[in-house]
Amino acid sequence: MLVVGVAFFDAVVLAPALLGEQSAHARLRRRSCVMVVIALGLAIVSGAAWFALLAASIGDTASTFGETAWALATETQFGIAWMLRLVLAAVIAASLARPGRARASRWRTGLMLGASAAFAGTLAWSGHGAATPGAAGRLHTTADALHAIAAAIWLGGLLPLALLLGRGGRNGDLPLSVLMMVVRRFSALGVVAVATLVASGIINTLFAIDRIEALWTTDYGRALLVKILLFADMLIFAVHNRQVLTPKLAQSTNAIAQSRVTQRLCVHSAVEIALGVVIILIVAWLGIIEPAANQPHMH
Amino acid sequence: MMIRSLIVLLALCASCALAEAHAMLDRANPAVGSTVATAPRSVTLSFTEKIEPAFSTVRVEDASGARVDQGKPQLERGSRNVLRVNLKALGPGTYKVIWKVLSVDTHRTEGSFSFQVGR
Repeated sequence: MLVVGVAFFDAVVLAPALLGEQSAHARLRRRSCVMVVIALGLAIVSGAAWFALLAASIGDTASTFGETAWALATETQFGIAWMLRLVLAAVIAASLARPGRARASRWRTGLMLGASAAFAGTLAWSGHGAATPGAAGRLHTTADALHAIAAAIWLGGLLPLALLLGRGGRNGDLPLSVLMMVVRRFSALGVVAVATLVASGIINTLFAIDRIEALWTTDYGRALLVKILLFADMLIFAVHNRQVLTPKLAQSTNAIAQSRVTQRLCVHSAVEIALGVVIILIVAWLGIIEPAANQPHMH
Repeated sequence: MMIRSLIVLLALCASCALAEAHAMLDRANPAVGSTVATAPRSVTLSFTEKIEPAFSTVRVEDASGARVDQGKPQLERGSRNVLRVNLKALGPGTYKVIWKVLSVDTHRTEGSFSFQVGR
């Protein structure tokens, strides 16, 4: 998730904003690279653990762990998606910009963005949408994938944004014009991400909840409600950043005012990150329990 | 600041599983609890989710517990959620079908039902 967020932040928000600033540019781009590498490493480790735990739980007494793992990797949709994600991780690593160069080529950037978006989207292939037969299944899987990509871009991008605002605001080493461009461009990216999240979220909810009262009578429904409320909470902070703090930043006349507004923006972004992390934990829990639509109805 | 961002980084990297459900038996042929006049050559199980045949098993036992299924269960051609297993020649009597399947979203479910042949 972080991989996608940082990649998109770097390409769409940071690079254009830093076009004039060579020294800051090199330093910040290098930091983006480091974040992507760390995030990729963690993704691979957690992915390997997920695979191993699954192989351990589905094998029967007649097969060895190795045989089970091989069958899982080559004969199931989960396994094929997992191997594809390994390949995508390699592509992402290969398309990381060379640390010495100030600008990555268009081609390299496009490859990085495409591979990282696919990296997030392929998570949908091991989900409920992928297991649903027919056209409904294809729609559900597509909504799942878009939801994952949009969430990764927004939540993952909040981290480099918060870091940038924290450092840039305190040291004052980034000119106001750069800060404004970063904030404005991230906001625009956020609007697209949020719209996608809402649309795909509605589709997914319709698949998972078949009676409105399931939202408060089932565990699944209640967790989904909490997730929606936390999302609304994040939105409130994001809207405040966009409608109130960003214009204030544009109008700040001295370094102190600029620093103060930038710090506020940073704190708000950190709060959004915290809310987003809780949402991810809820989503992980939702992943193990039954959607309300599948639970037997009492007549 | 660095420690905090590192913690956030670690938390964000937790894999986010999407909503998952379990495959349940939707229909069967011979139907659950039914009596059929002629002995079926195979049992067909239709599930609510797509299935991974590599990790799904179906056992069919007669009244004494002996297995009467033969070969591995296969996906019905053109389908990702219908499993078929062939049977040996069956005489009249009660038979039990015990199924364990792995859904495409990696969740396992199992169940069993009976059917009767003849009279």
